[in-house]
Amino acid sequence: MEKRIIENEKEAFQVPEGYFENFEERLLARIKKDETVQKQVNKTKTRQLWINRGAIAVAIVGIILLFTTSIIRTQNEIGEKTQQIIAAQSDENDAYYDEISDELSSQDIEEALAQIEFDEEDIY
Amino acid sequence: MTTDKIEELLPRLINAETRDTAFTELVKATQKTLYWHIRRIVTIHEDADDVLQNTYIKAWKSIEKFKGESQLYTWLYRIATNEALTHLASERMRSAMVPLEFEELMISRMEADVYYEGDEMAKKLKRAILSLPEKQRMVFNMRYYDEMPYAEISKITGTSEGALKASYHIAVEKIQKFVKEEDDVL
Repeated sequence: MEKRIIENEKEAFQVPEGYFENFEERLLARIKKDETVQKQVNKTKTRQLWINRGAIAVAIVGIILLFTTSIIRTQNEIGEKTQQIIAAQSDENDAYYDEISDELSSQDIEEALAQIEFDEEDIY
Repeated sequence: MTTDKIEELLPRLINAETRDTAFTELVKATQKTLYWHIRRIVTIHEDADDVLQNTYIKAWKSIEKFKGESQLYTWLYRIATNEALTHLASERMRSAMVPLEFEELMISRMEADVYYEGDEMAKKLKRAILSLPEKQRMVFNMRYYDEMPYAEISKITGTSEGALKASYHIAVEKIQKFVKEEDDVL
């Protein structure tokens, strides 16, 4: 024990009556209260987390749907346009052939066919 | 309860099924020592009560992670010391005062506390102790009032035993000089 600076010193710090007897009870009550609050906070956090996850999932599905429908629509539009072009082309061809068929004799047609026949050598 | 008996509580504290009862025993066994350690740092009863509760709450929350690298008692003491110093630091920040002014404020708050009523000599000693720098004051209190071995103080504060001895003797000289000067003034 270190040498006393003041002999028979009386403690100047006091505590309320019964402080140490009640301390443990008050402390445990606070710990339980803190834990209850913490559990509620955790529950709210978990719920919020699931809500966020749900929102993200819905957003992702929405984006995928948007892309898919957009792609399908574009493909359909392209298909329709292609068909329109083919139909228009076909009509033009028919008209052309109708027009020239009157002017060509059977001899002209035979000559023309003879010109486009290939030899095997031309192919290989 | 002796320090050895406190250490024996550890396996029950780590086990979730026995933690509640073991923790109650730990609080009962250590509350007075820790309270006085904290009170001597923060000086006001209400603050000491708050800091003591925070100390145990922190211990409760981290007891599972306690690896037994130090003694349970030393660990608790260290938490209490850190909590008390953190409390003082936040009080100082709030007051926005330089150290000397803050010590003056602490003395006046201590003397205004309803749970402060020693005789004149005891009050003089408390004023002298409060005039010490925070860490030197803490070392002085641990040695003078808690009669803690230097080796133990060293584990809590992380300071070498030699430095602690020197710090303590300088503190005693300062306090004696302070008390003598006050006597001369009166």
